[in-house]
Amino acid sequence: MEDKLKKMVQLHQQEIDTLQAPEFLWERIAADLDKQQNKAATPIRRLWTKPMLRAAAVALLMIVATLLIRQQWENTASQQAFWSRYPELQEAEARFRPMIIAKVRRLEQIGDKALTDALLQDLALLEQDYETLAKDLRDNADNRQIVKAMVENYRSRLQLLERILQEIEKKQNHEKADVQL
Amino acid sequence: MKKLMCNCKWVLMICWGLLLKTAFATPPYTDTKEVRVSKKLTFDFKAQPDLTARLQFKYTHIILTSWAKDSVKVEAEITANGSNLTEANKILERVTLQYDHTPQNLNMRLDIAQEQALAKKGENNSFSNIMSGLVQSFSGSNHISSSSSINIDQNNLKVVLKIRLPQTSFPTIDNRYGNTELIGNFTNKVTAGLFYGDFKAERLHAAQLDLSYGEVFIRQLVKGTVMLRQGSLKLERVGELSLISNSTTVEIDSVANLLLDARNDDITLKKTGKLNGKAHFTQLAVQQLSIETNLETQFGSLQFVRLLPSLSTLDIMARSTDVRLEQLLPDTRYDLVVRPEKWQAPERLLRQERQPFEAAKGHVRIVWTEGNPKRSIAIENREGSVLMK
Amino acid sequence: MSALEPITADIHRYLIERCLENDRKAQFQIYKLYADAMYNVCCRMLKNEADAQDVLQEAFVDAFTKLHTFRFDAPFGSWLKRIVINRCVNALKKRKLLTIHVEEKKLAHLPDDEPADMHEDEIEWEISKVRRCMDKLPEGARIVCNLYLFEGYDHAEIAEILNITEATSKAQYSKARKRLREMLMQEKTTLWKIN
Repeated sequence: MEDKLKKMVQLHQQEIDTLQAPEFLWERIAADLDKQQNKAATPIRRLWTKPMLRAAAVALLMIVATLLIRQQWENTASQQAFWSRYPELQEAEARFRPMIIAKVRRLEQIGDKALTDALLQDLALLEQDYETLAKDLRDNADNRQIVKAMVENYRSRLQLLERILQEIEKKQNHEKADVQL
Repeated sequence: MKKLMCNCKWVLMICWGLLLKTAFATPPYTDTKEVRVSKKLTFDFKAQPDLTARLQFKYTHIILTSWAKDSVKVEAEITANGSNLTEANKILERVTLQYDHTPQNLNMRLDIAQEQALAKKGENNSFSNIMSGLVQSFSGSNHISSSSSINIDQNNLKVVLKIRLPQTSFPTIDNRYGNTELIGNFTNKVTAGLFYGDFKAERLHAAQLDLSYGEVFIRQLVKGTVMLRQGSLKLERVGELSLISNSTTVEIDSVANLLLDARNDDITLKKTGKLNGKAHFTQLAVQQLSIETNLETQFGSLQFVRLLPSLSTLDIMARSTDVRLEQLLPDTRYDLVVRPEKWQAPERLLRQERQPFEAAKGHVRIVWTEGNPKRSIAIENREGSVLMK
Repeated sequence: MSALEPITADIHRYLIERCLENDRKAQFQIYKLYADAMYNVCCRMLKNEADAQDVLQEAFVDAFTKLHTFRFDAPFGSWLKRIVINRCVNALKKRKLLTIHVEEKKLAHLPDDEPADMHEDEIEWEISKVRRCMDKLPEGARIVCNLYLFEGYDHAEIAEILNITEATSKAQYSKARKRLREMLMQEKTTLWKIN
């Protein structure tokens, strides 16, 4: 039996979710996090802050993680078999991901905060689309159109970043040129 | 168990007196390379004029037609193509269409099961009717080969759903990888969430649409909210519209009141009454503006080709945007903030007195009036260019 | 309905990965994405903005500190929300406001699926009224009702969150629902009288 009350609440919840977290809260959270980090920092820990070591450690962690994930996948042979059916997805991920991450970093350097946040939201939406596609690929019908859309999704993310970066850089160059004049 | 009993009672009640028909059709030939198998479902029932129709579909071409009757008529056809009968049936088997209805509600849902796990029937769902595979019997061959794997896509599975609904009904549509069409006049709210599929509608009075990766065409929309991502939108006549768009191409022939939240779009507005909101990284062209606009822009471009004398306010807060005002109106108070080297205008305007603008270095403020001011045009464009003709 | 909801989407994996490196900027981005929604959750649970702020602060610190336990198999939002809810429940327990176990015995015998009210059609549920009346419910019923209606958990999940049985959760909910209906009906009659 459907619960009319629950249905109504689900439908209208957004109307009453109007409170906003107060501005100062983040500062309190950040302060707490700082405190915790300082507490946790032992001499050994401090090594981590050296960039090279940190990078190496992250790389190592990633390798370990990848291996672990691989292993997990191998455990569920069907899943592995499933993904291995789509080498183009693996290729797309390998090709686009590093470029996307590099562009995001670049954006953070040259764009302002609000802008970067907005762009990250857009990227998150695209990523969400990707998840939807992946879910449909797994659950329903395994088809080429979806796989194509997934590859396209990676490309869209990159294109979005490229377009925005290009525009910002173009305008900023103009500004520099103007200043020099 | 108790729940089931309860459900059954409900089902009996609502199904009482309704016409329910399921027909299976196969083509007479099976020796050609392509074999086509299809299932048809048709039913109709008396409905309340304000019935809600909830449709959750995939890979389906949905056609909703409004009519002036207080009844609903449903026709669904699922067609599968395969290289042989077994294969076609196997595809068909993975498709489940569930539905139930009362005079107030029509619920329909299409699922596609994974090859290994065929649709679970009756479990975990509140639907009273299920039309699913298990149709292979007509040929007598019942065995399913499990060796070959078949990919379901638009080429080998076609689902067409045609529903006639009272024009005052409330359709709520979810469709992925399929096109959706609304024919006729829908006078109550239409809700749709579409993903990878086109949307076409003739006349909607109220709409809440969430559309991505598709082409949208609406002939007339009285009032609505449209969220559009990664697609295109063409609207002919619009009353009040809240448009939230992202990476899209939009063209509107006529809109009375538009609230815009655009990012990374290409938007062309022909006849525009009111235009408010924001546009970031967007190429926005307004062919004609008649009442007012309050816009915040970042990057991108903004162009006004024609301003009508009925205009009362034009207020632009821009950052790094290329602003073009192709026509200057008489009887207006102008207030402009711009970098002087990025301002292009007729000579007489360039001679106007300039004040330094405190809030942004290198910018100046120019205020002047023409004639007997009836309206105001204010543009603040930091780091962007302004062209006035 | 798919994406008509606000974007509490699984933000970029990339952001989370950077949070793991204690990148304050990424943490702030995550915070901003979820703070308002979670603040509303806290306020509903605790009925008090000051408490809600404290709990939300704890919850975010908690979440960032144990982010390494987050697996990407579930949406980040629901993972975070669960932390927030648990923190709220703890805070309520500390204040000894949450005493579901007392009522548990009395209610546990109610049938699993109490038939919905026969006069269901007469009542028009309205979100703001439901929200207001919910705060007047006895604490146990209020929390179950809130978790079920507003936070979208099912009875099995509620049972786990509150450490009660599923039957109790169901019973508490049906009790709450009945009481809400009465309150709304009463409000309606009062209005009639005034008119």
